[in-house]
Amino acid sequence: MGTERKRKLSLFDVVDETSVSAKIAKSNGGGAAMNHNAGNNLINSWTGRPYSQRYLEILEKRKTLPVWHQKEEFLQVLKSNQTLILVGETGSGKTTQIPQFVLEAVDIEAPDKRRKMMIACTQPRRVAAMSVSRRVAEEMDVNIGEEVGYSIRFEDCSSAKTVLKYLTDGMLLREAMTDPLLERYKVIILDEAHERTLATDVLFGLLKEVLKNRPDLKLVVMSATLEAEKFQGYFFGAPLMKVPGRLHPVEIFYTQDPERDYLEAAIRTVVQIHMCEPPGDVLVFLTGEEEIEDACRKIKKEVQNLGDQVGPVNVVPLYSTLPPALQQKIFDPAPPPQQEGGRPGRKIVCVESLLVSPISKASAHQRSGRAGRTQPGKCFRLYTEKSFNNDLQPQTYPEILRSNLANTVLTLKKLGIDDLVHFDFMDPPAPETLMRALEVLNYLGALDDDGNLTKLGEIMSEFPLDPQMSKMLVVSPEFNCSNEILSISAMLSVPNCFVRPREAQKAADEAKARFGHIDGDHLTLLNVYHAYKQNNEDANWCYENFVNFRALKAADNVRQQLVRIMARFNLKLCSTDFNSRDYYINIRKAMLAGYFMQVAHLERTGHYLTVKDNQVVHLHPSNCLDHKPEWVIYNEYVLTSRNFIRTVTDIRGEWLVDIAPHYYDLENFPQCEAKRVLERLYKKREKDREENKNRK
Amino acid sequence: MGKDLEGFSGSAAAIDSSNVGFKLLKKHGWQEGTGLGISQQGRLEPVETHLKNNKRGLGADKVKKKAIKRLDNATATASNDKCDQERPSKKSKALSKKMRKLQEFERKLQEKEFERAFFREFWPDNV
Repeated sequence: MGTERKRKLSLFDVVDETSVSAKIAKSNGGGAAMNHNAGNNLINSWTGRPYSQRYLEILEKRKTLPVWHQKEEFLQVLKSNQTLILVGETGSGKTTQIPQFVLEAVDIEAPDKRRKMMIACTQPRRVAAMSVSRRVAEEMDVNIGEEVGYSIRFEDCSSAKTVLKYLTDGMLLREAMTDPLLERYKVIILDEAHERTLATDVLFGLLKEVLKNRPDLKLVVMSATLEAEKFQGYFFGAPLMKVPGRLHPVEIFYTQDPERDYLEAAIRTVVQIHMCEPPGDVLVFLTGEEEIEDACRKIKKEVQNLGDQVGPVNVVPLYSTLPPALQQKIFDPAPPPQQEGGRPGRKIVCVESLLVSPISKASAHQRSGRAGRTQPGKCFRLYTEKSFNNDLQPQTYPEILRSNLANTVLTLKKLGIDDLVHFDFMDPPAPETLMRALEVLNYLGALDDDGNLTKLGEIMSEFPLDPQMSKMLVVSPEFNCSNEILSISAMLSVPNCFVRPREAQKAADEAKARFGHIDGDHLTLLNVYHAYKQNNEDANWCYENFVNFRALKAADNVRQQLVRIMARFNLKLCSTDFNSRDYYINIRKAMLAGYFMQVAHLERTGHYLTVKDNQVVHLHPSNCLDHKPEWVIYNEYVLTSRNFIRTVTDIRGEWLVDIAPHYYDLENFPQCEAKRVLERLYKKREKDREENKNRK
Repeated sequence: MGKDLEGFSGSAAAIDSSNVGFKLLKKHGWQEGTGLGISQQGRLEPVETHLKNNKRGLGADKVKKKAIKRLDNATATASNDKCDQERPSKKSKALSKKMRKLQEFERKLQEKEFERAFFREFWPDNV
């Protein structure tokens, strides 16, 4: 238990409360900043209704946020510059307040005076876009979806009235495809820019161009960490404003020696904190769901073993796959002492990091900041100070350097950016990464041999989906099964629909088996969707059949949106007769037309090998197949201790050469096992042909 | 979904000049050996991805390697260092124990993987 730790001085400034309130009082004294005159201070200028009591209460709280005492300064800088960079630690209130400041100060009347332009605020996460916009609507005393709205993939909650829209960075990029100069916006705020998501990075380059062509447009880049020089250099030396986070001192502790097992170390540290530290909650960062559940269980057990020596704990897991209702539990208060005068309770939240790799110095700094949000805090780093200094890279690699860029390239092409090589990326990806994307798009037929967007590619780019799935949808009418492919695409775009509660695993498995299609998981998903519709989208039916109602409802919604896109391009909605023996064959062929690069072959040794890069893979245990097909297409490649392919469907070898001969062209195939596998297939084909001839 | 695929691009063999993507990038005006970007400042090689399949903490991997090296020296020079002397005897025992542990871990992972399949990503993408 007695891990010795090294002490390190606080990295954070202490905000002097008295000076803050003095400044707030000063800035509020002006009155003019509020953009209301004294007389109608109680009337909401957006709705024309009097402000509610709740509005006034919230307003008082808002005024204590750190950004408020820099409001004047911010508006000044905004007024005299086209681009500005605002650095504020989380907790400064920038995400909720800055867009409202902008709205108060900027004239959003369109030049033709007929309509209002909008303010956009991007978020990397859809959950954030939804929850922040709800909060801001409440703060502005308006209904969500009216003056304040949000827009995320497959869900648009905004209207003609909307003046402030929170949207995912991916959605703004998508809007740029139809509105290249983003003319509906007066000010664009890129929030959480430090997260450097793929879409944010592309928006950076894109907006730099748009700003040149639209002198009236303003851009605010908001970031939590200080990569200020890099951002400034990139954005034409834009002015930088810093907003202090509301932070108390945070003491940082390191371990004396590297940890043999970080999970065990984390659990031990939490228990130690619970035993020795004064009241206060604990936040633990782990790599994923499995670890989080494991840690939660072990912490509970360890604390129980300590009995009355320590106070009660409330251990709460938080990861993205957890149903939203359970995620809300993190807001529960710490448990009360067990008896009067007993030791106080503590809440322990175990959260997941987005990326499973060593943290960067910048993220480590940001995480430690979380300890000082409400009171002085402590941060326990489960590595040595030497490791911190020598082993960690200063910043996390931006997503653009880590991701598959096929979709991004398709988007860029659609945006009319043809010179990908010299596009103004803040961090350009490696040539190889771009080559792989171009390769995929060429094989899919989205780009021609000169790299130009084809007609097919243009339609594909309109679907907010992976290019493989878009391709499958666009060509599905040719296989006379677009209705079914739409359903499958929708089901693949929502969370797993099968529910398997711990206490009813057997019943759940039996229920799932009833939907099972022996030829593959894609077809099983289709069965579930059909059954859901046949049972009138009934929530009770879902419950009884261990199917997630929310997931199905979401799938139905996604499907409707996809149907609309199909209709826009006159893509026929059709089905093969269900009683025809081609019904499922056509569906499987259409899927192959999109996913011919995600094929695995069953080797004689009994394992599967991917055609693309000769990786040994295993069918994921969740599959519904009753046999091991010679060829399968897969939806996902899951890298864990074992490489799994998940959501697989049986396809026939001969379809490969029929449907994707350009990909399964032996001349262009590098010498590898995949080639030998294909040669076998071609020989088989030849033999079949010969046999046919002989028969005749 | 994208994250699952990351390992892919990193682990695949480098692209040669006969590759369609290679040819297309050249057609876009790329010159071999240069980076992308407005002033060709981009990195030349993709970021490497590593699969971590143990729970060793940051810095613990390196120490381990060093320790093994030191061990070899110790047996060769018959050093008096107490710590080093104790290790060789423990080593073989620890190894088989480690193997067992590894297998156990592997089995557990497989079982868990099955369960996890049912509680997958609540939302697969950010967008």
